[in-house]
Amino acid sequence: MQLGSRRGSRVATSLFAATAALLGAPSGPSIAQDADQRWQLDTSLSYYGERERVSDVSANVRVQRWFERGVLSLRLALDSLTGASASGAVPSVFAQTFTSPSGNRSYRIDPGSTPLDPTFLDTRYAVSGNWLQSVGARGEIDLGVSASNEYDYFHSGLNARYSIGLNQRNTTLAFGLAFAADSVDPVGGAPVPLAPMLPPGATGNKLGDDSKTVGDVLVGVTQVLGRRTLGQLNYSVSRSEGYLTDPYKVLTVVDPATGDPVAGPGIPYLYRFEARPEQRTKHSLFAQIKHRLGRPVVDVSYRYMTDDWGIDSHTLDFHWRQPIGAHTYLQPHVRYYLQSAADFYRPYLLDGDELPDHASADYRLGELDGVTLGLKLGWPHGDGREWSVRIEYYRQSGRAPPGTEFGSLAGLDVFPTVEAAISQFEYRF
Amino acid sequence: MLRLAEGYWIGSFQAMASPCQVLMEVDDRREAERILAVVAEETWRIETKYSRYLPDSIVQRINQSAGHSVEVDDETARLLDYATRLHQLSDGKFDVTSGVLRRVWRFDGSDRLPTEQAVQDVQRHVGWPRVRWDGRRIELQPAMELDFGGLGKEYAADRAAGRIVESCEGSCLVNLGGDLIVTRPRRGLEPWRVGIEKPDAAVPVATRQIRLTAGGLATSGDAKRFLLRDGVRYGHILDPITGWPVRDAPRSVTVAAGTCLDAGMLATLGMLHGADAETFLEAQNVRHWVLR
Repeated sequence: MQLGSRRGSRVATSLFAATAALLGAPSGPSIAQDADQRWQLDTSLSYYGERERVSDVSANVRVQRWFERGVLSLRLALDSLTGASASGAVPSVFAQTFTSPSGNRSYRIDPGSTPLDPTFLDTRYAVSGNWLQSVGARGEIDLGVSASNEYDYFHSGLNARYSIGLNQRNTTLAFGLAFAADSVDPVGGAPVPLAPMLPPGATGNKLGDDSKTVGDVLVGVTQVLGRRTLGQLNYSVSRSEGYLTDPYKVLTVVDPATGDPVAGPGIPYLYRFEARPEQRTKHSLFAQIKHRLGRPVVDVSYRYMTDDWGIDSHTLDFHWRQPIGAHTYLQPHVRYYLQSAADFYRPYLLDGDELPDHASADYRLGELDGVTLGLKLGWPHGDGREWSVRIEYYRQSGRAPPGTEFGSLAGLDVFPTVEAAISQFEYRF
Repeated sequence: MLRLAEGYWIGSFQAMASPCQVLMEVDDRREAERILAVVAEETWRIETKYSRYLPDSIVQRINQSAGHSVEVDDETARLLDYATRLHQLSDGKFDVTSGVLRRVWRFDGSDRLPTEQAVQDVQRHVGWPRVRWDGRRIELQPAMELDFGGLGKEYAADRAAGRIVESCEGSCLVNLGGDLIVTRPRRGLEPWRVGIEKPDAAVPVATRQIRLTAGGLATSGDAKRFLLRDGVRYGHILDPITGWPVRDAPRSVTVAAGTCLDAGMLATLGMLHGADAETFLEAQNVRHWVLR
């Protein structure tokens, strides 16, 4: 036999005959193709609505493209925010008049009502791109850029993550870095910290635009714990510097004897713009366990966050994915959140007291807890395609510091409960 | 272990030092249990009979016969005939007596290469032509060893598939540690989607997705088993003629063919062709995927 012919397809032909003799049956056809999964598209439309407050409609698209060397992901998001948002001022037994952030209009709040700024309206566009590829024998690197734009805010960011599989890939170590540079150009200008709100037309209390930077470092380990369980532990530290104040939030200045707001310069009552520190360092620890219990999958996670503003928070999150038949699953979700107040949080300022360096009456910096209850129904139908619908209810209750509700404030709801409904519709193909 | 996925059952078991799975497009749980049991039993039977490690195996009996001839049963005879044919077809590169080379080659990711002398010393005990095989009795020279490790999983997959194809009308995919065979096409000719691990990736991102409608699929190559010395990577595919790893072998070769054995043997032969793997596989007229 010639050597050349062996190199030819006769090896395969002879081999097939030998295999048929061994197995005692001729071989069947072979039909195999590369899966044409070079593209994956995720789309979702979601609605978030707080009772009597802000609502957000959000459309998201994620496109993933597989290449020989890695995966490219692009995300586009469009948010449309409307409605009213709490200004930070306390309710009063009197009607209150506020100057809108633009400085050229005013709005009125009824006696006893929580002051909500009704001029809240924003559209946010966000784009991001990530490239994921293997590095060396066991590593992987993910590099990303992001940008988003609102009429008063611009964000740009870079991020990188390296992970390496050890111990036959049962352990994965991850290291991440992220950096963001944001600029803020508030409507009407950024207020002078703790300056009084002035009547429409007056601009002596406003400055120009401002900026902030945020740096993040993350280390994490993911560990396979047996055949059904996966555990993850992450530690991250985040440092923000620059303009961290909310330019639209104020504090009411209250008479220490009566609890009523005191008279203001050119407007009925005195409100001062909030002032937050110009640095913030957060540390967070995140632990997660995913466990398969036969067909259902349970996912429990806990996050602890502490920062140098005095906020400590705990988040407990629980998902249970329950398949129903072959083509549907139901996924209940429970989340509990608890946080302590920032050191400079106060529901109002007292007239006659020396002005503090920092103060904010933003309820999101106060002591609060929140519960989320949700349910997701999904219909995966092969090849990675899936429809899903999610509905959630969120309720947040705050606690005013002891002794807060005195005088005329005693009968008012200084720290009202916030309720929100979330619904989401998702299609992946 | 059995669970229901999207429209089919997944049964799993452990055999031949690998995770094994059977995907079954059948409606009834008891039918799925029955098929899983048949596949697992057949795989374990072959593992027990042909393992180099188990004292009662026929392979152990032959290896410990120390220069005496051993009479073998029909199944073993067919496997030895097959090994003879593979040796011919590969110009001696596929050799079931090459297992002794593992005494000096340990592919643990380190830089510990054996010495030339050590390789030569074991290489003397390699060579199918020096085995006396008359179709019924086999006689190994002292210190030689027989090892079916190079075809055991593929053979078991095909045998197990052969045992269920008659009794089960639904499509089943038998997966023995990455060596696969489909018993018959699925309803509506929908393919089974299988992921082939890309050897140098830490994550499933880089798994290659293949749609397998009919036939077998097997992969040769293992990125975790290599030696690295002075910047040269020595993969774990050994050339029985030299006793050294095949030079310029791909990281992995995946082949689709009518049976799992055909796919597996062509993948192995492709690896043994080193730098010419692609040329060899092109000429075989089979679907293949080479990763370097």
